[in-house]
Amino acid sequence: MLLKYELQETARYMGYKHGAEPSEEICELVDEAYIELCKVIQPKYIYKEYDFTRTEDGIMVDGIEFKSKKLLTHIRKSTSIILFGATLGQGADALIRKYSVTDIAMTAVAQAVAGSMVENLCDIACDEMKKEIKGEHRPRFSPGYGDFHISAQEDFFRLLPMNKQLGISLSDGFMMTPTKTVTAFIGVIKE
Amino acid sequence: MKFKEKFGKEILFFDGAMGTMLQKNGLKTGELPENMNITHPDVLLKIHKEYLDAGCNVITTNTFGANSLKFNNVKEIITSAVSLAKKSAEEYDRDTFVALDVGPIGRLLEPCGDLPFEQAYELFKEQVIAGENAGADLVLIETMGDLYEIKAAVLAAKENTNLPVLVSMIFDEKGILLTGADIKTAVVTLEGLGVDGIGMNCGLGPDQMLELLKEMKEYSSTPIFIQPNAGLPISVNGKTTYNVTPEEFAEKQLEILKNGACALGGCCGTTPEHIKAMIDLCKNEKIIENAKKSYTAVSSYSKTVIFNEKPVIIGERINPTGKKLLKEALRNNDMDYIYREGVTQTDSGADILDVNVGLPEIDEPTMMVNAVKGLQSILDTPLQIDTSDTVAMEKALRIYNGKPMINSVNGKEESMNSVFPLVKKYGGVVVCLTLDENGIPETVEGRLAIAEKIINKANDFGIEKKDLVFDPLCMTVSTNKDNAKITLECVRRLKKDLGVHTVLGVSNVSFGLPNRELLNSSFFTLAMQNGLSSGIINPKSEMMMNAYYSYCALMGYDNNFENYIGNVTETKNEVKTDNVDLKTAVIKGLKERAKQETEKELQSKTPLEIIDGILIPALDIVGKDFENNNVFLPGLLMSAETAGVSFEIIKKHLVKNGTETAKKGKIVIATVKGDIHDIGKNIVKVLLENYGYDVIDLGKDVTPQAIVDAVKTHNVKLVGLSALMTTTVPSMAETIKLIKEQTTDVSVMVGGAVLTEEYAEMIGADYYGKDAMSSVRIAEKFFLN
Repeated sequence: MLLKYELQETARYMGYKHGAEPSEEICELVDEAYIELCKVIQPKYIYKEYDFTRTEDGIMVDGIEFKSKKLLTHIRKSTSIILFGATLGQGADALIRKYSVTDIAMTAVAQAVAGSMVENLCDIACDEMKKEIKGEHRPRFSPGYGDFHISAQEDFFRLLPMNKQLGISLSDGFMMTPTKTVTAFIGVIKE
Repeated sequence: MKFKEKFGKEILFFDGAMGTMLQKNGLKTGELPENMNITHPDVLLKIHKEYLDAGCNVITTNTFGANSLKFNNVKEIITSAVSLAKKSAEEYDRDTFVALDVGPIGRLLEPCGDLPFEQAYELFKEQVIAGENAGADLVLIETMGDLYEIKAAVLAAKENTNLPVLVSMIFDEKGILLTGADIKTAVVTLEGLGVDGIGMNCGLGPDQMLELLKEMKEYSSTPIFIQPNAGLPISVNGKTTYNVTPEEFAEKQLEILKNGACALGGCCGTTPEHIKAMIDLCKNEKIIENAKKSYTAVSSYSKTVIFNEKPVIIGERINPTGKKLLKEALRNNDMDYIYREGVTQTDSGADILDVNVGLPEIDEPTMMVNAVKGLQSILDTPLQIDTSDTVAMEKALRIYNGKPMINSVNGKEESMNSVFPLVKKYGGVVVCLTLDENGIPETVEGRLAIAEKIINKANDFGIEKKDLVFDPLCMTVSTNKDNAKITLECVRRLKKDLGVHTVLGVSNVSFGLPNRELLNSSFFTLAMQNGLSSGIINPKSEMMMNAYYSYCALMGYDNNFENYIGNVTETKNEVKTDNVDLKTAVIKGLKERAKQETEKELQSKTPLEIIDGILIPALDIVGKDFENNNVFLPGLLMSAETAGVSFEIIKKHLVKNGTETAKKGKIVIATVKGDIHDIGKNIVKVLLENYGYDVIDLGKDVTPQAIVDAVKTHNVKLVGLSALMTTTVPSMAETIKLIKEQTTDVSVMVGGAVLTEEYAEMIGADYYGKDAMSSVRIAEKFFLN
């Protein structure tokens, strides 16, 4: 799977403000980071569609409640819900670790490029899901957004085999490693 | 009959899926299956019986995730699971075996995740001891995606039980583990650890596994067992299903058997029907025993280097002998210096890195462990653990992720008796020096005789010839004109007569003579021509590498002359501008230019004049531009890196002259407990160091107490804390509280994505840094007072 990055998005992740554009020299670093990342990433994703019910504070999926009113509004009208996970794998983290001792500028650049690439992976995956799961797909909504507490990751991992199939593990603080990983809920409105 | 007597000698049949069967019998999504051993023993008895009725010889306990991170009654769960399996098996009057099932912990090990290797070991230890005590016949470590975790599990099983150990891994369709290892690397590492069986399970169906098996068989001398899923998973109405029927499954498993597997079973989606169909079809087949392989190989966590005709380059730079800067780095615990040596050697073409950190005044075992852990967290180059301290050697071998090279053993009884047990236990390819109690023989025959003695002794320890690489020792020609000739002849004869691989520390040959690189590179070419398998050299030396690339090009080891063309004619592509001075070079981030300009400035200025008069003002200009949004983070960091290059040259100059620059002040920095994001902290570190501060970096996920302890030990008055997530800000608050309680007049600056000035104040921080540059400003203000 060939992943791309978006320069504007990457620049934003690198701290560029007000639409400022990276110089030619920085663009060269961005390209270099992209090429090196392409050599080491193992992009993978998984998803699973579930029925769900609405509760007062959120949703109930297979007996597990996810509390977030923002999530409720986000998936309004949805008739089912997809649990989705995607990762660039451990190679990206290892490369960024390497840069952190050899070239700190490349650390910041690679970090941003990898961020943009994981977004691209999510987009590719979502397009694939649309082919298989018919209906209107609402935008992705992740634990940690708005009022959706990050600790929901633990229950999310019970419903989707993030660890077994993607090799993702959760720290005590509910952070995912490898770090270039995304989890999300996607509401589906069936006609 | 014991399991070991049968496995690999006759076809054995394992059972099929446990999870699939538990779900059929009432297990709900999200429930922990291992609890059913206690709550529903009848269900387990039923499942085991169905598989035994299908004809299995080996049944697997329901203990996949039974570790103490998930359960507080591990022993109870495992004891009951093993008892249920044993009780089921006793009903049958054929040989049946109970495999203690050990799955992954569910938490990634360091450095990818946050679980320390030794803690993983302890978790597995508890499981295997409980399993053996309850009467299991073997340990089945399965569905593993990380070689490091496998190593922890295998060591736990081998050190604490007498049970045979089988390891089964989950590969993707390309044959890659989650942590990046390919099949070859997995086999090399596992055989190094001496496992009794190597297998694949889960993730794939029999079709895909057949292809991977063919590759596995090329490398493995160990019996192979295969437990596929019933095809690839398909999601139907939110339920995962598998669509390979029992008949199809049986047909494919038969083919797998004919391709060299010695035991078969099933994973997700397989049922007693699948297993029965498989056994009915396969039971009268003849086993194909795995041929012994004799290749020599070392590996990292994801990469393997095989010794063959093309010589292997072993980078020699991480060795303090004769290197002032490295010695200083070791004394100051400056690990980054060591890591950079590793990276630059790898970039220069090293296949393996020698790691020697022995200095009389440092704690070698601790330093060795830190160096190995650090290097393997950023590089996939296999390492050569180089030490004469067997304690350091064992500690390093234990935490090494892969099958390392070990430097060295020699023909002395004492050396062999202390090193060979370690090689046997942890796996490795060991460098064997042809010397013994009587010294280094002057003749070729004398050195060959020692080599033979070493081969025989290794054999007594169960170490094969393929895991020995011989160093016939290279003495300087300045003391005896025949020295080089003798060594070259030894290299030739070791290969021809004894059939072993060789290694040489090439540069000894020229000791005491001028223009050493010329002699070294010529000797290197001669040695390669005489069959040298690997050279311990400086890969950063152009002459040595030119000799190597030329040799490979001439001997046909370089496809399309790619390496020759790519390396021998390499030129730097940085823009050549004539009127760029050091200050401009730093502002623009031109590293090569900064190097040259620093050298030039050093001829007329003192280091302090350069630092305070050029480098700091240049950094300040970029810093101000950053604060005014005219330059952004990458630009700021490019300048910081470039200034770093200049500082490095100045430091070399100072070390040469035996002087030092005074540091402006000491600062402890850390990412707080619970937070694993350290990029922001690392950026702050580089900037502070650029400005001349002595930064003590404690890393990430650091406990409040560890931070306080460091503050006290180093007598530090300013601490920088980083936290990225809202969830870890409380941990930051806790750290500040502890610092304030246990120390006096220590100030804390904080930073991180989710922090605000108000929040920083609320949790008791003295300073808030909104970005990397502000940490420098805070330090300037702080140390001014």
